[in-house]
Amino acid sequence: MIVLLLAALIAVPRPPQGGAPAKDAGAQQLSDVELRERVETYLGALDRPVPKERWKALGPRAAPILEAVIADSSQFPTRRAKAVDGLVAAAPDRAAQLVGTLAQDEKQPPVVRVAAMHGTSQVLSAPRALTELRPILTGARSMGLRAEAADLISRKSGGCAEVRAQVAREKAQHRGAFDRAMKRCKE
Amino acid sequence: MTRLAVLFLAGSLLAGCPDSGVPCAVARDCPSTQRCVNGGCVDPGLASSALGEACRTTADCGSGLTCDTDAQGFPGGFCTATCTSSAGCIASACTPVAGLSVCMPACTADSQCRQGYGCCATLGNVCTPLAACTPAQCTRPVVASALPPAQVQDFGTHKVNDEIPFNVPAGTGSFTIVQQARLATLTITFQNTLQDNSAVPLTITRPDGTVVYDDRISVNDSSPDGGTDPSGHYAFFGGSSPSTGAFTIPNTSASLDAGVPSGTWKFKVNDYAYECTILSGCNDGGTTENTYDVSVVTTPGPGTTMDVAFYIVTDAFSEANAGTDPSVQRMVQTFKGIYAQAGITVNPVFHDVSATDKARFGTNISATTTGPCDDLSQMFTLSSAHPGNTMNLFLVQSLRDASGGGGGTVVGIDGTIPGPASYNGTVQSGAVVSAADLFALTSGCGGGVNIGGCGADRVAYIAAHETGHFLGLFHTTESSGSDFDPLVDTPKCPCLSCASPTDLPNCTSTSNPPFISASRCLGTPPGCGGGNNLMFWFLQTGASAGALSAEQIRVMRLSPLVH
Repeated sequence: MIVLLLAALIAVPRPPQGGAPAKDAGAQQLSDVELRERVETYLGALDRPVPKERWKALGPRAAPILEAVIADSSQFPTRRAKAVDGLVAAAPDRAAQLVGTLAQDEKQPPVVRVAAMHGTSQVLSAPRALTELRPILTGARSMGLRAEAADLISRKSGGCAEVRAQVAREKAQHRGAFDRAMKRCKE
Repeated sequence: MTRLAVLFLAGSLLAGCPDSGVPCAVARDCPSTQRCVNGGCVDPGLASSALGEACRTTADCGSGLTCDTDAQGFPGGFCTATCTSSAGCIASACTPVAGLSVCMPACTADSQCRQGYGCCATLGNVCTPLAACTPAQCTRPVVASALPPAQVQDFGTHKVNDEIPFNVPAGTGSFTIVQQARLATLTITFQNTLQDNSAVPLTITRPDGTVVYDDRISVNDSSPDGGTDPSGHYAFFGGSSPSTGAFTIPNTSASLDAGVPSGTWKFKVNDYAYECTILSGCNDGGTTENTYDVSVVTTPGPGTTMDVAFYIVTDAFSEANAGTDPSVQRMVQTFKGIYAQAGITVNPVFHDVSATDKARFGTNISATTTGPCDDLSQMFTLSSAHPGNTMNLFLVQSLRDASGGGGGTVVGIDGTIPGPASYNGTVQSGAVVSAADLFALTSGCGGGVNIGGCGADRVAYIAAHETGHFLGLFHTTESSGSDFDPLVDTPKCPCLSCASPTDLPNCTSTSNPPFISASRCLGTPPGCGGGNNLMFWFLQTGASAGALSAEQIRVMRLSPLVH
């Protein structure tokens, strides 16, 4: 079973629970071509999530490549969303400059906004993240986005009151989307 | 006092604890097979057991009660009654257990429940078998196969370690062993890591007595190119099949070559929790009490048709316009085209889900919390609304890795490899695909298949990939370049041969191996292939071509899903 449990982590297209170590000596020595190739590899993963630590190991040199993908509306939304995930890990300072705006932009595809919303929680201070997420909780046209904002806000100190208030405003049939947030607020 | 009087008195005293004489104050002081009566533990007797007490058969239970037996997963047996609401239960509550609604005794602490039972808060503070205490919203339906009776052997409920003989008729192309949890614990802790409790046969034995699979044995899969290659084994299990497990043979080159001999085969019902009781390394979760509904389906030979049900768990479109929407239709045509090359004709249908289910599952379902009670698995149970032998593809608005690893956006996930084909409604009955790209880049959808420039084609490719997993295919080469599928005719892309010079030193790293990209697996250098295969781990414009090997096609067409 030992082998099989390990196989469960590596052979099945369900993602591993842990990330790779942050240290990747090779990443610092990558040529520009190799760096771009590695970014492309991470953006192309199908059912294998790329652990945050792998993105992080690429460092700020990956930022321009990722920012170009994020800004390019002719790219697939899931690819742009992955680029947001990557930028947040690889260059949090750069990511901090765009995730709030991206998260609130109703013109962006939901999957991109979701990635940016998660980014706000990771690269912005808690008060600033709340400031960016609050309008989404209360005003996003997509119920799914409101629910995701609730999930993120529920992790912030004092966020549960806002989550409960929003759930009270939601239609009954939509409240299931807020279960994760409400569960956290009950814990 | 006369000697006779002394004997009479002694007999009277012994009547209080006539069997073991073990004193007790509450039922938990007694073994699970006994009741606590007059301060002593006693075996159940005719019509003597009240609700929640031990029993061997229904005859042991009081009026109106039936015995859920030890063999059904109720330690020591359990007298109870079916119910429709708690109003019909006295000092107990109507509780969903093992697919039924039954009266279970109320409690406030484990100490009030018998051995083998706990006070389950999530089900409303009632004594339940430990394996039955799941989150309130969790359902683990046990369903019947949609295949014709001639193809299905149903063996009912069995405990782990029960050995089940089954018949493989002459001319059988494949068989699939299916275990569905009746009462099975959710997790184990192995080497201090919490794991889902996968259902997988302990052993599978051929008619000639050869054990062709033993889950306890670590096999040597070492490949000369530095990876692991299980293609030489008769049967291969990839892991991660909690609650509902399907195991199809043949699924390796060795078994494709050898075929499936007719006669009486055997397998042992099993899960990781049982293995925890017989192998070392487990910290918690071992039990011999788990029960599974067990069945075997056989298929006569390679099929040619696959019915596909797309479940619309997004607001982006609906069943009403799926038939006319150009992007949706493009996706269907591309999906069909990928499977046509395998000789499989796809018959698609679309189903809406309720607004409530869309709200719960449609956005940001976690791709990494994949236990049977997690949202992903619970979403797959929606397929019970449409019984049949269908590939159930759930199209959601977005999908994320919610683990501590923080991998972010994911585009698709399959339930298990293989999926429980023909069993709609279980926690593993489908795959999920992000529909976020479906309506993107429509300008690239005018000509031939264009996964790099047409959103519908890209979603179709991902859906086809996840369907491949459900049909029994693994990634040809895993991301690390050191694990290969169990088929010899799928090109490998070993890290040691194919990684870039920068990555090469990390190929042997167990903690941080490089990811092998498709562009390094397109035949140059020689021995580096598979980048164009549908089941490569990674999608890359210009590389991913949806290729399939002859053995991959054989595995897919031998799935019960393809008829």
